[in-house]
Amino acid sequence: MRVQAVAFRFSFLVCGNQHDAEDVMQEALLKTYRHITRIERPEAFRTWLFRTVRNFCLMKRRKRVDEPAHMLSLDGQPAGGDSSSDRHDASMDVADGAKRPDELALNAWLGRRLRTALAGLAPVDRMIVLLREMEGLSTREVAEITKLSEDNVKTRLHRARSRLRDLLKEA
Amino acid sequence: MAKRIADCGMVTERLSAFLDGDLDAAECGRIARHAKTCPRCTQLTAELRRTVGLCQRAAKTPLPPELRRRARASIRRLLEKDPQTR
Repeated sequence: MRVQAVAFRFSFLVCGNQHDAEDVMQEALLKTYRHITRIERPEAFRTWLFRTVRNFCLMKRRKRVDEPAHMLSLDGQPAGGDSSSDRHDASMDVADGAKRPDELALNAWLGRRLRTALAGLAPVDRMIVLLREMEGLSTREVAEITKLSEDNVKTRLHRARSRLRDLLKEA
Repeated sequence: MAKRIADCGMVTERLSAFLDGDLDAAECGRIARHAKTCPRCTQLTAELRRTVGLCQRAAKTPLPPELRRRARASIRRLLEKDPQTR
C-alpha cells in the first residue's frame, strides 16, 4: 500500500481532484508494475514512480484544457482552461462537488488551508514543493523528475516557499 | 544601516539554502548573527520554517481509510484486468 499511497498523494496534489488523481495513479502504477523488472537500481524506483506520475498528470492536464470548463476554483471564480504553466492552474481547482464526502475527507486530511495555498502555486513550483517537502526527495532527484537543473530547482523552491508562506497568510 | 540592509537581502536570498543546510559554516554564522539583531529577518526565518514544517507534517498524515480502501480496490481491479501483470 505504501507505493499506492505515495502515488495517490502525489497524483492528488498535482491534479487537484480525486477523480483525476485516481486515473493518474492507476495508469502510473500499471506502467510501473509492467516495467519494474527493467528498473536496475532499487533506489531509482522512487524517481521512476514520481516521473511516471508527473507525466500522466501533465497528459491529464493537457486533456483538461480541451474540455469545457466545469470546475469551480477555490475562491469561487469560474476556472478556465489556461495552459500557461506560470499562471493559476485550473487543474488544481476543487471540483464542483467539493462538498462530497470524499472531497471533505481530502480537505480534512491535508488541511483546506494548505490545499488552498498549494493551489495558488505555479504547477512546476507546486510539484517541486511536493517532491522536496512532502516526499523528502533530494534536489538532485527533483531535478531528475522535473527535468530542470539543480540550480533551477533550488531557485524555484525558494520562490515557492516564500509564495506559499504568503498564500498561507491569506488562506 | 547600509550593511544591515545588505544583510537583509542576503538572508532573504539565502534563507532556503540555510534551512536546507546547504550553506557552509561561515555563511550560516553570518545569517544567524544578523537574525539576532534583525526582527524582520527573525520573523521571516520563523515563517519560512513553519511553512516547510506544515508541508512536512501534512506528508506524515496517513490517507483517510476510505481513500486507502478505494485506492487499493481500484488498483486490484486494474491489475485483474491487465494480462501483462498477471
